[in-house]
Amino acid sequence: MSDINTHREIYLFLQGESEIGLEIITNIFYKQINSSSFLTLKEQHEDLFMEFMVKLFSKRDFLLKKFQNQEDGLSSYIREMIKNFLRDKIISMSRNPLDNVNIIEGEFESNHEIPVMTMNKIEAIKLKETLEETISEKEFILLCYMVIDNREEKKRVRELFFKDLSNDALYQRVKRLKEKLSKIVKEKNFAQGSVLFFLENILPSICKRVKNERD
Amino acid sequence: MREIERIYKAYLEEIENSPEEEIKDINVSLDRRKKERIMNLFRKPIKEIKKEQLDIEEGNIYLMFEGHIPVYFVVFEKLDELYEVFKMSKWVELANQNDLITRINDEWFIVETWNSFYLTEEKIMSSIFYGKLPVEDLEILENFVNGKIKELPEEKRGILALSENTYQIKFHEKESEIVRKYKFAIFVEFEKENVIELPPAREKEIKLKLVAGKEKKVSRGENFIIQADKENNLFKVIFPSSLQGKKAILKLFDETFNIKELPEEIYIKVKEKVENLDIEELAKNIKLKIEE
Repeated sequence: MSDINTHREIYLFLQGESEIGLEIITNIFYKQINSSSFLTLKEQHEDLFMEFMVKLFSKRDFLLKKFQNQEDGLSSYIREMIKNFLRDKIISMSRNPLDNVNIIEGEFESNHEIPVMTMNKIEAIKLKETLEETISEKEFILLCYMVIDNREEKKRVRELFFKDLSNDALYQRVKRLKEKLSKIVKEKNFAQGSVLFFLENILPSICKRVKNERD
Repeated sequence: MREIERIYKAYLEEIENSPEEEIKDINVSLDRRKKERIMNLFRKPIKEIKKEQLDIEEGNIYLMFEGHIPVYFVVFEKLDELYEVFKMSKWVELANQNDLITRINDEWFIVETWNSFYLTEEKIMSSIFYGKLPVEDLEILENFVNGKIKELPEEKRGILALSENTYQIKFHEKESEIVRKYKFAIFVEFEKENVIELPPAREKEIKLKLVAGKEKKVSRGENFIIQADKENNLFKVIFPSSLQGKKAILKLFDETFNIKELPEEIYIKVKEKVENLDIEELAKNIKLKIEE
């Protein structure tokens, strides 16, 4: 397809006048859905392709207007649209596992939720899963103890779980766990915001569960 | 692979290759029936397309292409010859706390409040007018850029991310690279204003007799340093920071230049090769007087 003007053919296709334009879009779409980024969507390729074409049609007048005086760019724009479309899909798919997690904030599902907020939650859940794989239940309890602000409560939890430890020994354990956590966060490239979200919104419900089990 | 990793990868691929390169070896064919169904959909009559030509206003959003990379930007301020604009992006999931989240034409966008660059009117007019930044978001942008607010509103910004190895910061580095060449346009324009041409007759006066080893690269006057810049074939006159910004009169041989605000450097353009000119003679013929 090297000597074809892809921009021109796509423009003509949008006007219903070029099958080559449709082929180009089809190939761009399949290149994307076969890439490692969107591999999880591959099975649904046929439905997704048709869904995308309907979406493209709904934006047709907008695109014809915007690109009428341009000599270039439509193929890049279409690819960006496809990437956007597929990104939305992987993000909305990742929401399902989140339903099982008790997020204190409440309502999670919302069509107009900003994608980056969704991403933050997905990341916080990933952090939770990573921690579950790498730190022991004992360490989880210690983490719960570390984030308690209330002095009375802290004293109570210390009494309940770390009665046998000296202050110094407890301090050493906290220090070691902090180091371990920061290493995990750094190695896995978690953003500070996602860590905060985990500490504020996910960890409390885990701690509550652990405490109930132990009480 | 984590979702954020996948998205970052998809972003990188968009920057690195054109869609044409990517589909070079791909040949997916739709079956006849499907193809016809889609073609029929797009054969439906098109609404009349009105031409739109708008004045460049603050808050206008445009789309241009840097090669195959779509670059969205919002007009922020008109400077003398150039417009200061902020880069925008649709890669909202990769935003951090300094990216302002907004919605344009039913699509999510970020305004990269840390990533401004400069474009000419001509360049903007040849870009695609894409929409307008909502008034309240333009106000937030102005207040944040001017330091009136220290943080973007919580519900309108990305994830807090400061460390280098996070995907958000990696994304920022790439975003800055894409428009890097437009970041310096302002300095080029600025430099033009500070160029003085040395008349050829004067050049002759200071031409070096061929004495080996005499050429020097640096000399100084009472209140400036002068440097020969071989690469650009000009002389740089550099002023101390204590004088910069002051009103001054510069005398070069018998020519007088009134300078409203003394810049850091002034350039003297010459036709002869700089190494053939006597920099010390030139320095002697430059006088700078500060007007209080």
